Amino acid sequence: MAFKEIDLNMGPQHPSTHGVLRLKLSVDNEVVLRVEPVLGYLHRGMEKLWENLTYKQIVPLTDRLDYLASLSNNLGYVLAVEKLAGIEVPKRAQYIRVVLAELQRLASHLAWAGFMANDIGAMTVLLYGFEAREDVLDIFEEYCGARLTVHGIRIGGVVHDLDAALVSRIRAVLKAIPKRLQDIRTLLDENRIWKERTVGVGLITAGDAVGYGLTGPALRASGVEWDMRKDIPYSSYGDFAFDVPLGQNSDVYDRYIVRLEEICQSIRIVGQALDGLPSGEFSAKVPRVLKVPPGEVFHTIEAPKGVLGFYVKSNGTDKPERVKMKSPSFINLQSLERMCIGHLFSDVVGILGSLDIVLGEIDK
Amino acid sequence: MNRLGRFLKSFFLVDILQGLWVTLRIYFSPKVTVQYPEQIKEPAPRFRGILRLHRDERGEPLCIACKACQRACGTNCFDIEGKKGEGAKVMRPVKFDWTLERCSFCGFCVEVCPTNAIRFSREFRLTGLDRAGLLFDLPDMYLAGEDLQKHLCAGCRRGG
Repeated sequence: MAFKEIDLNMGPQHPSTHGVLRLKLSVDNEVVLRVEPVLGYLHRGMEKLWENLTYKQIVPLTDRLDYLASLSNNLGYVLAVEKLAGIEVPKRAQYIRVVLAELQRLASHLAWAGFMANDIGAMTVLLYGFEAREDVLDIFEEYCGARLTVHGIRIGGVVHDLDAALVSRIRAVLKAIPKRLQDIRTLLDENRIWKERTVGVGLITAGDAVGYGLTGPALRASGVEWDMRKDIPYSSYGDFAFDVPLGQNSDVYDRYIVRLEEICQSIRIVGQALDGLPSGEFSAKVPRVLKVPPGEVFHTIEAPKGVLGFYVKSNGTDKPERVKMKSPSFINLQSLERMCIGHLFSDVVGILGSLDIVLGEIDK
Repeated sequence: MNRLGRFLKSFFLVDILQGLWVTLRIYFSPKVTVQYPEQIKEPAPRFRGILRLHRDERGEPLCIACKACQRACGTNCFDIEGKKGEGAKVMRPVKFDWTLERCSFCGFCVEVCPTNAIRFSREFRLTGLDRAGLLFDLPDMYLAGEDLQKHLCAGCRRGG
């Protein structure tokens, strides 16, 4: 058949773009030649908005960035401000933060497994993944009253203390999740349709992955060991023993395996944090009107999607002069073209899903 | 042997059958879904629902119109005016407007309130048919339960 290049729009209203993302695809019959992501359909002007709010008022807005992992966003921003203001966070608060952030990673990865499988055609996994995620969201509701936009981590500490009832509830949920995980793995790991669609799809070499600035599970699936929790520990992550799962083939299947392994490691970390929960205050004393000394700071954490960074510049008042966010989804999306070229059109859905993007974080 | 094993596994659809066994097992396990309008899952005690003002046990309003919530709010939900009555010791609000459509349920107002007057209710049904229902003024802030629903929804207001 004669070569004919066709431009094709995928999105902004498309079930597999995980929001309002538009992909301009150039295809030759079914083979993808170029992919150009078009962003900005969900732009809310967050960074400008933050310049008009006080340091404390920004925290609930960070929930709305990566809305599948709101506590990780809270943590990233709060740690940056605390570093700049020189606030010492009590040990107990740091441990509770670890518990919350890891539970959030669990919820995010479980939701990802469901969405990803649903994109490829295995709808059952979506239901199982969401059932397990529901238990985690119930913990958040019990802890601070909200499920999705949690706003549980505040400047100086956390919003509530972890009481014994909640600790035992978290333990019960953690005990139930591996069973559900095993169900998902039985359905997908050896499934021939799943393997046909994922093994050898969306390849990117380790060098390219680093060059594109890919972070998070997608980078670790390429065999690069880079985890902020291990390499630059924050919030007492150095106290816990856990492994960083790595992949070898850097395809969609390895990203899936890495994420599911990370869930197991998160369960390990939460268990250790609950066992060694130190006594003391759950929040430092923070003045009601928080004035941060002039200066600038950049702080990165390991969010479920990748390395999340916040740059905060202060001019000495109670409002920041500039807050810039390095969002993992935005940077991971840039390597999409590199992964898609030469693959079939239908594989774009799988590759995009394997990057685990959230549009709230990309467009800010 | 390894190749033969792989061939047999793939020929007898072992992977598919294992998956079907999982779905079959869960098909006969108890259901986890809640049929919403008939069954209601109770929100947690700390649930952040519609904001309400409270009175003390003698029926006196707890709010002293200090506007701490107004200052703490990041989305300008509140419009409060206070007045000190003749011979009264503390201020009382004469105007207390709360806009539900602007609220992000972050909880700052509840945390800063010195008299614990403003608290979250566990009302999670936030739907209204017009914007009038989403604006709460001083008497509306004391509504509870079904009255709250009537206030929110224009259909209920007309019917009731």
